[in-house]
Amino acid sequence: MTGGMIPGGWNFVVAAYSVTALVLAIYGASVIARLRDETRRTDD
Amino acid sequence: MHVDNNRFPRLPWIILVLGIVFLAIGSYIGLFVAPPEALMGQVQRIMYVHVPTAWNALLALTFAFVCAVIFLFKSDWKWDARMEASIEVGVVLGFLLCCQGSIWAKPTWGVWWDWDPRLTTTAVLVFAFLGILALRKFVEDPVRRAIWSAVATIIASVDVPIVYYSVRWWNSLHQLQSSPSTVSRQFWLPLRMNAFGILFLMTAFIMLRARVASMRLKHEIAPPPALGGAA
Repeated sequence: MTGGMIPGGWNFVVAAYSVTALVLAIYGASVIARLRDETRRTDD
Repeated sequence: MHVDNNRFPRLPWIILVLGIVFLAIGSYIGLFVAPPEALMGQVQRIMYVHVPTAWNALLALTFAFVCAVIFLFKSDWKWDARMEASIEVGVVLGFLLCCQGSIWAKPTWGVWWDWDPRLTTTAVLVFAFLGILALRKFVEDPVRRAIWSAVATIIASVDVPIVYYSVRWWNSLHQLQSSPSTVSRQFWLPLRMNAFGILFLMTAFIMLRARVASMRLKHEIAPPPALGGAA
């Protein structure tokens, strides 16, 4: 501890933002892919 | 028979873009403009994504509860599709919430996970709704699936207020909820930008996922072709 403040921590911050971006992007892509599949199936 | 969730075809895409823009700007401010917090230092920047994810996960699952109640009263299939969509989005946000919380807990509490009331009730919430998604996968009859999962959703939703109030009801490592009066103005802006960003993304995901569920339902409950003309 330095003066009561947690030192460093950028690696945890980068990890949290990366996980957030990755999970949202992968889920968004999966929803769009499923929507395309279902639209194609409905059109057929 | 209403199954359609496609009244405004372009709306979810507009909301999706808005969400990405808000989240990008909010995260930029949170990472590079807002100052480090007095005690948590840089680690506090995780709050700008963790807290909005928590709010929106609970909101998505509360919406699932509303959809379940409306479905049981009105037997309108579009609410079954919306329930499925909001449960799935709520589970994804709940899983993300636990990951972000773990990453924040390690430098602040010294552990990745602790069975404290807030974390335990959140884990129960995620697994309960994951179970409902599994139930929907295994039940083939759409009527039974819709009724059973609506009832299960109402039961599982009891945990939503428990998660929210767990930090007030029991001794918890997790801090109490903040309010605008307890958060400095410099920390507000990225928090609110990201809250709206994730809210828009969540709304767009639910709308698009409900369309997928509606299209699947249409295939399942459509009358056989021979009867189609007579119906």
